[in-house]
Formats: sequence, C-alpha cells, structure tokens
Amino acid sequence: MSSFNEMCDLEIRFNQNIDGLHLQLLDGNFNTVYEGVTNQLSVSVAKGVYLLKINFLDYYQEEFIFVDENKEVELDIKYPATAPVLGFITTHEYFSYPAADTSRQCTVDSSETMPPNFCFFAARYDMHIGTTAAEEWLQHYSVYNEDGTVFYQLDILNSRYDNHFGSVGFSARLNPGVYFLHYKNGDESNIFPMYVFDGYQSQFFVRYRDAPDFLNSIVFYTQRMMFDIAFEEYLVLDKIQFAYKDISNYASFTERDKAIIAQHPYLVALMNTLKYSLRGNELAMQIDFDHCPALPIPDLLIAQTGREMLFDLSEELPLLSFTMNMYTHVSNREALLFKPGSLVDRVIDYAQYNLFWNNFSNIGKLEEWKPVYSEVLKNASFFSEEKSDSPEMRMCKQLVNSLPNKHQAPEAASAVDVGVNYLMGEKVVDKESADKINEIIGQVSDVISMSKELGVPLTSVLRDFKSYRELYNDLKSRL
Amino acid sequence: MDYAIVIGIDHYEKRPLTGAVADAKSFAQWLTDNKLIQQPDDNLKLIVSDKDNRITSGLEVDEAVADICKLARNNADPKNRLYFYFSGHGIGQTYDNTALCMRQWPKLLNYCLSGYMYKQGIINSGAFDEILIFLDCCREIDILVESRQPGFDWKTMIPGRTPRIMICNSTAYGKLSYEVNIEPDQKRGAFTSFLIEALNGDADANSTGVITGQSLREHVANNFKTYAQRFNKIQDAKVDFQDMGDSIVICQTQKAAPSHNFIITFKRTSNVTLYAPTTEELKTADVNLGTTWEINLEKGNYLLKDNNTGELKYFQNFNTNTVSHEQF
Repeated sequence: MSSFNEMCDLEIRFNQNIDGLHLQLLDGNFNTVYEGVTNQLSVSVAKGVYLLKINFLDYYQEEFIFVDENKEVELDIKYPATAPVLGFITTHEYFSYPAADTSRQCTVDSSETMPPNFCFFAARYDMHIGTTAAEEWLQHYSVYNEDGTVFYQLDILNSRYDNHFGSVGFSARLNPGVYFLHYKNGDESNIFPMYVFDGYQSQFFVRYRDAPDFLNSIVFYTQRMMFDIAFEEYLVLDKIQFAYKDISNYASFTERDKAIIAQHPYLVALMNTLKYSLRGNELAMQIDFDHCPALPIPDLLIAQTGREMLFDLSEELPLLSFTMNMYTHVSNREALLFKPGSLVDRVIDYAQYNLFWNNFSNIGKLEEWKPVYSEVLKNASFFSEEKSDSPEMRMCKQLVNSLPNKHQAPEAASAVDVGVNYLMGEKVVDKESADKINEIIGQVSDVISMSKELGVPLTSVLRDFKSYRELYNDLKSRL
Repeated sequence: MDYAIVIGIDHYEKRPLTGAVADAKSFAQWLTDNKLIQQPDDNLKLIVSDKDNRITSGLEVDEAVADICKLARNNADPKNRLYFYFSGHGIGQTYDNTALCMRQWPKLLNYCLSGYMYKQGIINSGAFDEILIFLDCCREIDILVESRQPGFDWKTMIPGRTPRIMICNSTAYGKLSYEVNIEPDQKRGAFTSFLIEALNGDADANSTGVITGQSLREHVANNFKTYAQRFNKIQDAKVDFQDMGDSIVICQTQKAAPSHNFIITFKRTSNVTLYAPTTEELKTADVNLGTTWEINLEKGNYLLKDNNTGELKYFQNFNTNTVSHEQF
C-alpha cells in the first residue's frame, strides 16, 4: 500500500525564458504551496492534483499537474506576443524568420545594400486563425509621405508574403522624416504616424485574426536596425505599457528588464515620459534612466515641460493614442492622463479616418508636425451633408463648416455657448460666429428637442440625424 | 424588502449577443427561486430585448429605476435591498463608470447608460440600505463614448438611508467579458454562469450556510479565472465594495441532497477512473453515453481519465454542501 503523504520532487520549467513570471502553485485542497516570481520552480510536495497559476503582465494561464511521483514538467507560455519573439506559441519560427528577413533586407529593392530603416510586419496570431490569404492584406496598406501623397502602395512586388502560414512584410529605406502608414479596408481606416530617424529602424508589428488587431499593435524604434527572435526588448516594451497602465507595476521590473531598457533609447524615452508625467508619484520617481541616452520623442519633451502643458498640447497634437489609451488608465488614477482629443473625434466622424495616433510614435519636431495636422483638418468636412438633411440642417452644417477660424481658438472664449462648443468638438469660436450658429440651430427645433429628450449632445444628433430622428419618433409614439 | 432590476440585451443591431437575455432571465430566476424577491410582480423588473420589440432603448430602465425607487421609498421596511443586474455590451469609460450599452449602440454611439450616474441616482434616492450591482459586460475603454445620465433626478440626495454597496464587474477595467458555450448549443456569459453557481453555494467556501459579499469576493478572486480558462478565455472578474458592502449577507446556501454532492455525466463509452485531490483512485468503472455518477466529493482538485484514450479532464469541487455537475 502506498502512502499518499509521500513527498515528491516537482520541477517546473518553461520553454520560454521570461523574466517576471508570477507563479502560484495550489495543492489539491486549494492551499497555496508556492507563490512568487520565478521562471522555474523546484519544490518538494505531497502527492496530489496541483494547479499552477501563471501570471505575466495582463496574461493569465493555468495548468493542472498530476503529481504521483517525482516529476519534471516543461510548459509553454502561450503569451500572445505581437512581435514574434522568444518562441511563444504565437511566435513560431515561421513568423519570426520572415520578420527577421524583412528587417534585414529591403523588400522594395533587393539590390539595396543598406539595411531598411522602415519595417512593417503582419502575421496571424496562429497559422490556423483566419481564412483570408495573407497576400490580400497587402492591398489595404500604403505609406504616405508628409505631402499626403502615396509613397508606397504595398503589393506582392514590393513586399513579401506567405499565404500558408499567414504573414506579410514590407521594408524600405526612407529619408528621415514623418510618414503615415495607412490601413484602409472598406469603411475601416487607420492612420499611424511613423517617423524615420537617423540611425534607427522604425518597426511596426500587428497581428491578425480575421482582421488586424490594431489594439495590440506595437511600434518600436531600434538602433540594432533589425529584428531577431531572440531579442528581449519587445517583451520589455510590453512591460512598460503595463507600467503605463498602473505605475505600481513598475515594481515588478527586474534588474534585467532595467538593463535592457538602458540599452534602448526608445525605451528610455518611454520610461522617462512616464516618470515626468507622474511627478510626485513615489514609485515613478524611482525610475532612473537619466544617465542613459533617450530618443527625444515629443511625448518626453511635453512630459518634461509639465502636466498642464500636456493637457493644452494634447488638444493640438496627436501624441497620445488609442493604443496607449488601453494602458493609460488605472484604478488609482496615477496614470498618464490626457484629455480625449476632439481632433480624433472629429476626424473619425467627418473625414472617415480613424487616426490611430500611437503614443509610442515619434513625432519629430512639434513645429514640423503642426502643418501636417492642420492639413488633415482643413480638408475634413466637419459635418458631411446628406441628401436626407432638411434645408435647415444643411444650412446649419454649411455655416459651421464655413467658419474661417475653426482651427484657431480666439481669445474671446468665455462667450461661447455650450451647444456651439459641442458642435465644434469643444473648440472655442468667437461670439459673433457663435451667435450666428445659435440662431440657426434655434430654427432646427427638431434637433434641439431630440438632443434634450434623448439626453445626447447636439453634436451626436447632428452627426447621425437620421437614426436619432427615427429613434426619437419611435419613442414619442410610445409615450 | 428586496427589489430587483434585471436587464439583458441580445438584440444589438450591429453586434448581437446570444446569451445576455438568457443570463438575465437566469439571474431573475435565481432571485425568485431563492425567494429573495417576495412580490416579483411588483418588485422585480425584468427588462430583456426581443426581436419583435424595441425594448431596452433606455427609457424602460429609467422608468423601472424610478418606479422601484419610489416603491421602496414608500416602504417603511427596516431594510430595503436592490439587486441591479445588467448583461449586454458595455464600455469602460472610467474605472468607476461602465457605460451600459442599449440596443441602439453602436449605431448610435452614445446610446449607453452611465453606470456610475445610475448607481449614484439609486444611492441618492434614499430608498435602499443595500445595493447589489452585477454587471456582466465588457469594460474596454472607449474615450469617444458619452454615456447618458438618468432621465430621473439622480443628483438630489434624499437623506435617510446610507446603503452598503457591492459591485460585481464581470471583467477587469479595460478588458473584454466573454460569452462561452456552457453547452454545445447554449451560449451564456461566463461570469453569470459562474455567479449563479457561486450564489447557489460554491462561494460558501467555509460551509457557513451563508454567502456574504466578502465570501463572494474571495471565491471570485480565487476561482473565476480558472473557470474562464475552461473555455480558453482570460477573464478576471472583480467584486468591489462601498460603505461596508463586504458584510452584506447575499443569501443562504442550499443544503445538498444527503446522498451526494456531485454528479458526473458521461458522454462516452469507455472505462474511466476518477482520481482524488491526493491522486488516490476513487472510482474506476465502465461508462456509457448518459451514465451518471452521483458521488460525494470533498473540496478540491480532481482528475477524470479515460483509460482507453488517455484523455484527461481536471475539475474542482468548491463546496461539499451543494450539488455540482461535470461532464466528461
């Protein structure tokens, strides 16, 4: 008869060497027998059915382990890394190798002897996820230059693709400056500002399910001028984003993580941006990369200038992104704060562009960026007119669209009516213009009524007048 | 006196769900089965979407909250409790403010109720001593959405009662909440299906006979992620409290039938072994499609092994006093 109290040696290892894994081992009766941060575990335990809980950043995985004798267990961390590094299940060599090749040799010109300084790589999360042939993805991407003209339209001739495993890559050697990676697929549209710096390779990685998962896309600027499966800095970037989510997560950074950050000016810039944005926070003040070279990204410059300045400029400059918005909030309100940009709102609604301003994009010099930004707005029709619009509605929209100073805030801000502010995406206009708009808005009684009755801002009603009118009439008929 | 407002929305025009209405009905059923709502005709407002109507545009919720608050305020009962349950799409505007999407969303982007303002409105109504909020919806961040304030006066505070509050969010802020196939042909919210089991007894880890806010929080924190992993989902629910909500006694637990506390139903014809948390072999037998084992299991991790195919299935029994189910 065997004894169930007999002790066994349990060795747990992982196929990926990850710093900062949090492990919790529970015995068959839910008692914790080990809890801590380690990437391998060696314990002596009684026979039992154990549950191993694995946490890494926001990722969670668990494994049951049946221990009836001495046991060595080797586990895979199935972390959905965006950059195909470190042999995760999402980063098979059939993704890593083409990414590495793309980063080392320009796909647009095979005779180019210098490494590319602009690299785009997209791959499925897994070769079995998604059905569209990878080469079909290419037509959705183009690279614009500052003038707004297409610099490259990605296609099968200037890019590499693998339909079997599901990946595409594009790389080129571009003059330093600002570019826009544009994704457009039907009504879906995103623009990512991408900067090319001297001595850096700008990298953009995105994963696909049926569609691109831009919320999990990353931008990286590396002096290595290449990508490799063994590079650990991409995982550290994920950790930094996790610290943006909640500064208390910085406590989980290992010495190795910090050493890697110190070697990458881009990562240093991100850490310093976080530090200066959270002035006064005890943990943020422990961030110390002042001795390391940092990429002078605008985010950093603004954060150094001060928090109030950040608020003001965030209305003017698309520094903070939807992507980072996933990480910039936290429960203890100690995160990097920013005012949601009316710019983004307006552009999405009226220019049909979903500007995906990546916080981690480098925006060169601010003064260079402004005219580009202004052009986008100038060409955007704030309120698109529809055939179904009433004459009053059309007149109202035309008036708002025709305001000459809609891009600039005059000093007489105090006189602006709240409704007009809503209309203008919270931009201020002068009193005379405001009065004119109010006068016409007043004539559009339906809009006002709907806004009040439905409890939604005027601007929302104007943007989707037809739908709101339908709903309003429906509700009215039921009251 | 206990009151409830239970909302479930499947029929979103652009992003329909399939389990939210069933979840809401299931929660309402749990309330009435456990006799927590004594007069369901008056005190339980079940608001669910249907393809043949336009219910759940938001107006119904306003009316329900206003009616229930008025009813409770006029009730001199020494303890008034409100259950507020929502299942549908949601958006995390802030940590404290989940926008509850009405069926016109996202066609009408702002057609969402402000979870925060509705909660404040209910608190300020001065009608309740305990407020239990259950939100089974996503909390992904969308800074563009402007959720609606209640149609009733939600800001004026009527003094009298300072409620203890418990808020159960099905997922962490900024994260998705999933529907899962609890049966091959039945999708349900992962959190609600877990929650019902928890309230039926799983959350009474120490077999005290009652489930408190605190015991529910511990059960959710310790075990919900494991439950979600069974469906290959990463989801982490959270229970928060305000004003000593942790001491709320949510319900009493049902006692299990004396003969067994676990039923395993087999969907195979094979020879199967059940292993105890200590790896001891508990039972080995031939099974057929539909065979059930009604057994008594201690709290812990268990393993079922198909001795012909080698297939394994791990499961857990959280509570010895309630009947749990597993399929293999």
